[in-house]
Amino acid sequence: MLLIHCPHCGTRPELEFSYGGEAHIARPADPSQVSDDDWASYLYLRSNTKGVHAERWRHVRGCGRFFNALRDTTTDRILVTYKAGEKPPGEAR
Amino acid sequence: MSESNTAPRTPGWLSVANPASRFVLQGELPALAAAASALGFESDVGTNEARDNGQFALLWLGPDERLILAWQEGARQLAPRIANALAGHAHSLVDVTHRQVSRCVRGEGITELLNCGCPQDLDITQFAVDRCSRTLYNKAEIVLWRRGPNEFHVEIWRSYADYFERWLIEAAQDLPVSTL
Ligand SMILES: [Zn+2]
Repeated sequence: MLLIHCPHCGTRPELEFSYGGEAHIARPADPSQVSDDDWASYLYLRSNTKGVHAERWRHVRGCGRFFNALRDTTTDRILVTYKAGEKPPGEAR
Repeated sequence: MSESNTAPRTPGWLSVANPASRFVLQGELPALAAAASALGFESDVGTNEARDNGQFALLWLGPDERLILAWQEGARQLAPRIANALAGHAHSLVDVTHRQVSRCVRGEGITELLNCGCPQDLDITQFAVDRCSRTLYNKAEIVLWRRGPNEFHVEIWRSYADYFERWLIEAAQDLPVSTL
């Protein structure tokens, strides 16, 4: 079983978590001013990264909070987790 | 109903431990601290910590979420008291008395038995007395609170209680628990 480090509770079994898709996707501030194509891309288009991917997770069967993780999609290894609202550690990546 | 559909006999290590009322409180830390003090606690609880002062139990569920168990006091008396203490604080206070039920499981070997369905490491070195956590028992969400080396308080949503008990009783056939 994978162990995932919740920034609020500590290391917990994967079963307590749910996946929340790619992280750091900003909702357009004024949707009515956005073209249909741009809106569709905000809703549906994701980077599908091979390698280090910033993604949302929720400790749904624990503290209930969303947080972010950097995971290598080729090895499934979670490199680091950090609180929602924070920048990914080592932005340079 | 056939005989096989009736629940197995309740073993000695499993008992009902319902408080008089239950609340879930959500808010920022000052609101949580105000509620803790209104319930007679010196301070709010820390991460994954539970405290019991005889009248009330306060359980950490998340950074902004607490579970309050009132052993004797009914919701009708308690709700206004907490709400008064929280005046001026943004918060949500929800009466969940009838949403869930409480079970006490107690006996030699109870940790191993719970670990049949709970994926957290419940060894006493990792999950000490008065540690609590929302977690899973197989498919059902539970709140687990260790009350002693061989004793746990379990909060479970009402409709999952039968599932939880049957799983435990089934698992105990391979991992016998001796009642304390
Ligand atoms: Zn957590």
